[in-house]
Amino acid sequence: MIEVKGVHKSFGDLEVLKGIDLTVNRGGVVSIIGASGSGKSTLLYCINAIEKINAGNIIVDGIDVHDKSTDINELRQNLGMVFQQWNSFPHLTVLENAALAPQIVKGFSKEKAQEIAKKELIHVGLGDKLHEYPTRMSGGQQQRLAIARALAMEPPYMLFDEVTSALDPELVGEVLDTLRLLRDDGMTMICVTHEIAFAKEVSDKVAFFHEGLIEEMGTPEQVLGNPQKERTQQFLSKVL
Amino acid sequence: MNSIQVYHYVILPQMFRRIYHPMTNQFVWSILMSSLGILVGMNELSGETQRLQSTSFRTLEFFMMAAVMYFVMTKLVLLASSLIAKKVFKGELS
Amino acid sequence: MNLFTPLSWNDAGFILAGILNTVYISLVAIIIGSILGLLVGFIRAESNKSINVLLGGFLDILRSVPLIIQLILFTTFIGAMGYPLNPFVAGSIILSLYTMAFMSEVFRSGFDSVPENMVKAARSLGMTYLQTVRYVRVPIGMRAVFPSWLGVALSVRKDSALVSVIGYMELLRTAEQLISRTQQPLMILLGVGLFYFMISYPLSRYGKYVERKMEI
Repeated sequence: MIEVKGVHKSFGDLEVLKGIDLTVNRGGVVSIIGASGSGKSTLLYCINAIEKINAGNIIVDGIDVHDKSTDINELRQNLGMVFQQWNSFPHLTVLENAALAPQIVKGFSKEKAQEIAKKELIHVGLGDKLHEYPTRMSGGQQQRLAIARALAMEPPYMLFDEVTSALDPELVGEVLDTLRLLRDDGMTMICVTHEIAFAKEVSDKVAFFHEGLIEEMGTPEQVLGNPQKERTQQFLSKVL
Repeated sequence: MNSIQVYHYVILPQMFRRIYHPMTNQFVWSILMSSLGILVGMNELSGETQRLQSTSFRTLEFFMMAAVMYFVMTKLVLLASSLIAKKVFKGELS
Repeated sequence: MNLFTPLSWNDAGFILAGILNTVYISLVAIIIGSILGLLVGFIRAESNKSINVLLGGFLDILRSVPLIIQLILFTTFIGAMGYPLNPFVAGSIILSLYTMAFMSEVFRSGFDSVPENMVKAARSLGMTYLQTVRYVRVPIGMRAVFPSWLGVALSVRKDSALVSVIGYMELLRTAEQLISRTQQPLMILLGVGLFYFMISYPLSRYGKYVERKMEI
């Protein structure tokens, strides 16, 4: 379970998160929507301890992420993260990309790491690209590689930060299909996304962020189908 | 625009801008490399230093001075070059 | 007695020794200079402004004072201090430091060329800071600057000729001695020039090839 309690976060004078409360249960899929600059991505960065927080707590399976005694590198093994930019390692083949972290972080043998990596790559549909170099692949394929690379660490949670935003429109579908696949596997996911239709389809819970606060949260039917707050209505009328 | 005008107003200004810094570096490089004149007995800074130190035997002091002078020279060239760049390339972004 | 004897096959061994010494001191300078340059380049890519200004100033001096002056200064200085070093050691020290000054800039831009997001992605996989350096930043950054590295390495090999001024018997000095004996400067210097060219040209072509290949 991921529990976000009263989280505040500022960059200098700019307060981006102004008290966020959010709970994600095992097996749940939470989508976060909202305008650019509303703090959606920052929250993911705070959950993964890439950014520090100014107040509040983030608890993952009972461990306080921002406590000084927490081993962040160990914690991150439980929190797979995929970014807007796929960031494939250009000097490694697809298989080596996905096998690197299991090998050096978890200390698996090369064979075992590659076995796990191969399994995840086949799962996301890259089974025929194992020995290609990622720079020769499309953005959609590289983003699926990024997903497989995170999955190879076998994390119970996955965080997705606008994973389709940097893609050409015709490549968005294949990445969303991969996310659907993970949902069907029962993966616990937090998706920051601009794909409203997708959020409606896969989520158990949707949170609408506005200027650092959760303006409205509930089932997709409530928030997206029948929004109560004026700001939510305005946002949805703009993007739909 | 005819082709001369294209060169005058479009191509040459951009080309000059592009080669300006590499050219400055090459210029500094030439100053430093002129020290090799010492090998063939030229009377440039190093050669002159060599001649003076051989009459006074104060090698260290003389070459130390030469080193400082080379350093100052390259810094002056770079300073002048950046001042000129600021004047000439006004309002243009890299 | 004939003072000047023409060039003969007996000189081959002498010339070969000169060639080997050139290769030897160049390799030492390139290897030590690269290792130090990698360290300094990394420190510069990671440090705050004040450390960078300090370090940058020192490297600037190494780059802005001609190598030949540095060589003369250093040997005179250690001589005056009463610890004369043999020409090979003194030459290696200065040539390595000089190489380091250039290599550190090359490597620094290599480290800077690795996108910050790629490092974040690596950290998010649970890699430690040092693991991201070892497995992500060094391999990716160094590949990006390989052509520049090769360029610096080749120019160091040419610069190594200057070590002859402090008495190291590398190729140029060997040639000078042969010239003073045989009085055939043109032929010998042409031969020496050809040798430098034969090493540099294929390597710089290779560098261009790698550069083109990496652009694709």
